[in-house]
Amino acid sequence: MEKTKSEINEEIKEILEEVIEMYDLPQAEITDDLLLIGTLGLSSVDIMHFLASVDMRYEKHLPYDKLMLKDGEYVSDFSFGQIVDFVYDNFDYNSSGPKQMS
Amino acid sequence: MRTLIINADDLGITPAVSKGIIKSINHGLVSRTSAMMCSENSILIKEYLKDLKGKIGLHLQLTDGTPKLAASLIPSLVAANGKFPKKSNQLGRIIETEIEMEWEAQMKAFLELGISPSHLDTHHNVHRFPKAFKAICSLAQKYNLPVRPLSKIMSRKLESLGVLQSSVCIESWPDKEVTTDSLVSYLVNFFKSHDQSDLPVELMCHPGYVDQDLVNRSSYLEKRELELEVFLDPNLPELLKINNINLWNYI
Repeated sequence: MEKTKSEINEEIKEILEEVIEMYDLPQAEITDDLLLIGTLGLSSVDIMHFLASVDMRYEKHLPYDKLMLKDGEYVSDFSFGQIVDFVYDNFDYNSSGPKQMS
Repeated sequence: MRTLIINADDLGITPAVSKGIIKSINHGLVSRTSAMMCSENSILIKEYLKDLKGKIGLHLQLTDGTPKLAASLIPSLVAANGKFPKKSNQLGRIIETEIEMEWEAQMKAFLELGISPSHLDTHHNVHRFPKAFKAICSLAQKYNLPVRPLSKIMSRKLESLGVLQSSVCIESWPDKEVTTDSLVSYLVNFFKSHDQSDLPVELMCHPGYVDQDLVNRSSYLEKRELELEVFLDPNLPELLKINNINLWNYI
């Protein structure tokens, strides 16, 4: 069954809350406008790690290069809402599955 | 001060990789290595211990191997065959207490070799995931061992817990080309552009020889042999020295 944007929002919010708590980041209300670099102080490496956690949550590998680059330039910051929109728009239901054998 | 720790990951993954790592330490500039306890070739590690006193850490695993605990005890960590998933994005909804139990078991397996690890890090850097990071922090505090930091916020947290040894880790080979010149050039620019810290910077690397075992399980193949060539390059020590980059001395 396909996920609603609201479900994805809640699931990604959980992941971000975990990051905020783990690394003692500024306590901020997680709204669509929250900036990951500007408000939370994450670096580009931290954002890659956060997106890896999103991939892990869904057992997928989403094409984040499409999120990172706009008109050939690297995007300088990301809002929480942008991440949610991206995951919702790029969620590939066919690639889902149980853990692959080692 | 510019100080560099060069750490070779994956000791025990295959015989040929392990042989290359030992050569990179004994005859090259690699400072230390990290050993896998969940590989079918982990048994080989015993053969190398005499060369590795103080230079071998524990490469904790949640991927690409067979866990130390029974699958029934750690169901969130394993695939249907009872093994870890191959890649980190296949981990799914892992449970922190299960990670802690499994990593404690991997630590016990390491200690049974008769030595203590010099540090902790993880295969595929899975401690970038908060639940795994919490688990590695608990283990590091319990055994008083440093942990590889992957970002500034991670360094800050590790520092607050007293388990930080290097300021940051360069997570992958820094250039498309694996050559001595490209490495030195990258390191010089890296040290110029990053905050000066009294702590060393860690370079994570994967030197080794390729064998059939590796071909069957990894996509990182020929570059391991190129990395080995770089660390064995007789010109590398002088190039680092003239650029004021000191190698970390474990003693």
